[in-house]
Amino acid sequence: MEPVIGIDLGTTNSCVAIVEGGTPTVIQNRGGYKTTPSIVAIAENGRRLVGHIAKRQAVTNAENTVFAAKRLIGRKWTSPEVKSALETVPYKIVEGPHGDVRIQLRGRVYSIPEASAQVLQDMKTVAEDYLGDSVGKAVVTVPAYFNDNQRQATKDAGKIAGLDVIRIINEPTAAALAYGFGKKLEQRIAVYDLGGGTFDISILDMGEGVFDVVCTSGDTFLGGEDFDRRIIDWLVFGFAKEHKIDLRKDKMALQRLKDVAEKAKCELSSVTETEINLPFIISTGRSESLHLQRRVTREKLEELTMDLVDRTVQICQQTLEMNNINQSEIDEVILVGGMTRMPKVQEAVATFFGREPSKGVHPDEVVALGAAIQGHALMDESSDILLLDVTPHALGIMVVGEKFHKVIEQNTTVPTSATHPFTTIRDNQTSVRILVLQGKHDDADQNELLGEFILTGLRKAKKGEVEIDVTFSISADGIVSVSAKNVETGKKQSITVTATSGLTENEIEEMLQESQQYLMEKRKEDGVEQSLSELKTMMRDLERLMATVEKAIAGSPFGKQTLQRANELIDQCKAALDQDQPEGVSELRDSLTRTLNMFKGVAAKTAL
Amino acid sequence: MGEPAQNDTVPRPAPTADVTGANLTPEEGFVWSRIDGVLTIDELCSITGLGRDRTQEILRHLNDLELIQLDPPTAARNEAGPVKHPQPASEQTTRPSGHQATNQAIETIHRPLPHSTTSASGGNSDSKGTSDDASVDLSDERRRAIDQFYEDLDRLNFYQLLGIAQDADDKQIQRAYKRRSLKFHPDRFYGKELGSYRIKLEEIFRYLTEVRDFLLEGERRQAYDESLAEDQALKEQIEEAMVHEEEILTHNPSVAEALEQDGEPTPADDRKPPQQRTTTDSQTPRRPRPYHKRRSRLRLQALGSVLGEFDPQTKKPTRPPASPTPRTRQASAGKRPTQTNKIVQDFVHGRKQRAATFYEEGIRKLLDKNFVGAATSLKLAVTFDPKNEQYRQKYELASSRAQGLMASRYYKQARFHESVGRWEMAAKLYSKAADHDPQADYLCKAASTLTMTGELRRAQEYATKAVGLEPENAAARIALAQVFTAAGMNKNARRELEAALNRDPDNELAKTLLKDVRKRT
Repeated sequence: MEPVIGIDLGTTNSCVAIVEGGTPTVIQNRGGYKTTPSIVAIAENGRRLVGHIAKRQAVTNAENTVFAAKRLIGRKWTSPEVKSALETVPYKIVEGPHGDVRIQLRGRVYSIPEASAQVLQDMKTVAEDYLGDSVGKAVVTVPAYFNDNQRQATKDAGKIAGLDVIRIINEPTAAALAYGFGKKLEQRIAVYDLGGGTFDISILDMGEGVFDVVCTSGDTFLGGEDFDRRIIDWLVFGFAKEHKIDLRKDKMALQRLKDVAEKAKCELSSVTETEINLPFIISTGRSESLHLQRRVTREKLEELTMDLVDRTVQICQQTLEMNNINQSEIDEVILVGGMTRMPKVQEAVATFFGREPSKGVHPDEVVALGAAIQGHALMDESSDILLLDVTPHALGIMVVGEKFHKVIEQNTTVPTSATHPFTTIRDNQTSVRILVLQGKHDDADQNELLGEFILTGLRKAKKGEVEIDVTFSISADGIVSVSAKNVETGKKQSITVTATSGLTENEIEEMLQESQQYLMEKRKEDGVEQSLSELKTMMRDLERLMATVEKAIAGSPFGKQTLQRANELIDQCKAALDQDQPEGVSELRDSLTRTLNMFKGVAAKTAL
Repeated sequence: MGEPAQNDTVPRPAPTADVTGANLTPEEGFVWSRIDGVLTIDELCSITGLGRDRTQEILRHLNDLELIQLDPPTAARNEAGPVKHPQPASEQTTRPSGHQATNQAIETIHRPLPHSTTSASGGNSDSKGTSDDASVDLSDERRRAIDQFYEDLDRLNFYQLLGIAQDADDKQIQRAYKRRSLKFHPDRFYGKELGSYRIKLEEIFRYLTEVRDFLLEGERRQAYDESLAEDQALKEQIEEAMVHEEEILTHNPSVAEALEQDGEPTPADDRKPPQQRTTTDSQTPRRPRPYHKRRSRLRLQALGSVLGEFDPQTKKPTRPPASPTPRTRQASAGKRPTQTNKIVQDFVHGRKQRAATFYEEGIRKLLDKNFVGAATSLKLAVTFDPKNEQYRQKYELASSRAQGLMASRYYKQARFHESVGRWEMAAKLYSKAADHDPQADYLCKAASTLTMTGELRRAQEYATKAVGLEPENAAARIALAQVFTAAGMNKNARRELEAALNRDPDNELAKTLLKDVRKRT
């Protein structure tokens, strides 16, 4: 069976897992970490950096370091989320050609899926290194509350990374899969997922190996980063009061603030007080530097972020109410996402659900594990696991008065389909434009536009006379297709809602080529580096043997010639090692190998 | 293409033909509307009622107009549409545009729901399935299981579908749903070429989900349980009644004889109260006679009288009615000491006696809420003593009331099926409702759902009946017009629509339809 990896593409960290011999396992990266920061950067020499290495240089290269790309993926340039990101991120965000969002790094413009693709590619490489084989298929997770555009963009990112994303699944669902895997449980569970950038709440019924999502809800712009920002703001305001300087104007300072805020937040989960220390944070402009130094208590953090925690609880409440579920019906609560380490969050969850959350899962790894389990379940015929997911948003079309008319309701189990009749609004109207929307607002423009198409050839008639049946269907893999049928003539127009991530097929193909090219070059580069280091080792060995060999063979004319050749070779090697792009390395290595072997032979004889 | 030479040729509607543009006579339109790509020329000749020669002539004409194709039936079924789009192709070929025009009008009344398309394709999905078979990546066993269950969706009740007892609790329902999902969710066949089975699996899964959601809703489930319980009771009582009837007929040849002689309970009695439905029923000119055999009719009556709450008024007959005829009193008084087998001995006296016995039995059964039994007994009482007004009134009262209730129950069920787009089921139940209680509402509904499922002849019967029943009812006229439109009989449709507008000048639907029809004629 072809291996399928499960990737948790997080806002701040990503994680990859695989099911091996029936057991799901998280794969460590080269540094020995189970999670990799979802950070991508372009270094000064134009090299791409991903993960820990990108995070480490973030302070010094803030403008060319992309973090939290997930917050922007699949979003429209005009969306309020992008507007808010514009103010807070140190890298440059520009408008893309399709009203999408792009990032400008060192003069080159990247799409968001491209940035995410680099993280995915890194996860793919981690898995390939571990398996010693290439990996082509993956299940990637997204927040449950992601809309179709965001899901599609994530899928495109996979494509650019050279992965066949066989399924996009929801993070809380994945967590539940990992929690219930191998246990014969019959429970109703709540998954509270507060990650780096998003919050999700999902209720699932488990039993018989089937994981049935009852409902899901959330907020795609509420997560750990918001907690960090509260600390940053608090520090910035304090500093401004004291020194009349706005630290946010300085991108380097902002990056340092971000690092320290995150660190403090994490520390305050285990200690009740910590020190924030940022020496030389900013220059006063009179050739002296200011330091930022403050103590922050857990209490203070809780005070700063209380409304955020409250909001998550509010969403939980609404979700349960909307679906007529009582807290007492929940058998278990699972916490997912790094933010759930915060004691205040745990306390709020325990209070709301009236029970202590389960400690059985690792909040950072459980999602990737679940993704791997689902990948395995899909590929393995003998598997007895089935995931029944729901559509997190209502789907419908725009109707007269720019209103949104729902055809498929929120939290409908997929696969599903529904048809609704619509009619013309003007006399002698011969065509209709079908705008496919997703969301919950009554006003059409408040919802996400997934796509549009036109049904033509309607009979000229009074308004309201011609009927059009619009059918929505969502397949098991979440692909939405919409068709409109002229009831009179049976004429049909349909679209499969796909290319809405803000990238065209061609663009994706180009990006894929480019990323493959980059990977090949990187491999080649890595290969050159390796042969150079081999060259160096052999040269040292040769130099070491020189004295011994000289003693043994210097007397013979043949020996003199040999020694001279060996010395020339060493010089050539040194010259090559000094260059950036040396040529003839392999020939050098071959001659060096021959000479070294001969020297070794002579040395061995002399020793006897 | 000249002569429709072979009579086993299957004419098919031309996929691109625009029949609304052709100038057809009603007869031609009618013949054209019969062509469904299944019936052979022979079969068509025998069903049109126009005679062989005339039918063939019309077929030739239609063929000349390129409205139909008279190819030999070779490729017709194998090409029933590409694998991935089983619906559109077949829908267009089997439902010509004239029919769709009617759909449009009808769908302003009914909201088409998901099932409408799938159930439309479901009918001939088998033939499509076979055309896909080569490429489908499923074992024969799996295919059979899927096909079987797909068909069961229409046949089994919700509990049977989930494989659970009717008193199953929510947990058991969930468990059963999950077990079924493990078997039929498309993800279980991930990466396989499924052909038409993909649609079937998706349909099965969606239906299972609907059923589960339905059963988890306390109120809806309760209503459903009640109707199931009634169905069950009905079934048992019918069986009982049939056994009973069988017994009577075998043991008492005279009864059988009486039934043969008297036949139907002579409805043309002028003293019958006008609100009684059986009367109006028989007055309609083109009354459908689905059950020719009298014994079947008896069963039908038994069936019709079982459902309904017990009306305290029917308790009254336990005591002798207020103004009983002396004969009845005698008979019922005389019954108590008399043994049934003794009655048989005296034929002339016995008939009356037996009538009285059956009457009393019927009244008792009424009290026991055994409506089927009551109807059977009272019917027998009437059979043995046809002139007894008392018996007849009681019988007709009971049976009509029960039939009305029965009909409303069918109507309710039909509406459920209609609301989820199960047209065939809805049509079946609406017509049952109309059979039991032929009121205009039921008849119209039956007619329009039958038009949807393409059973135009039956649709016409119901619509005609509705018009006959309430000639002033615009809705009935419209229903009939829709049937005519579907059959391509535009002039008739026009006539009915004009009639409808005469009665209800503001009826928008009628106006719209009329405009369409005028355009075509």
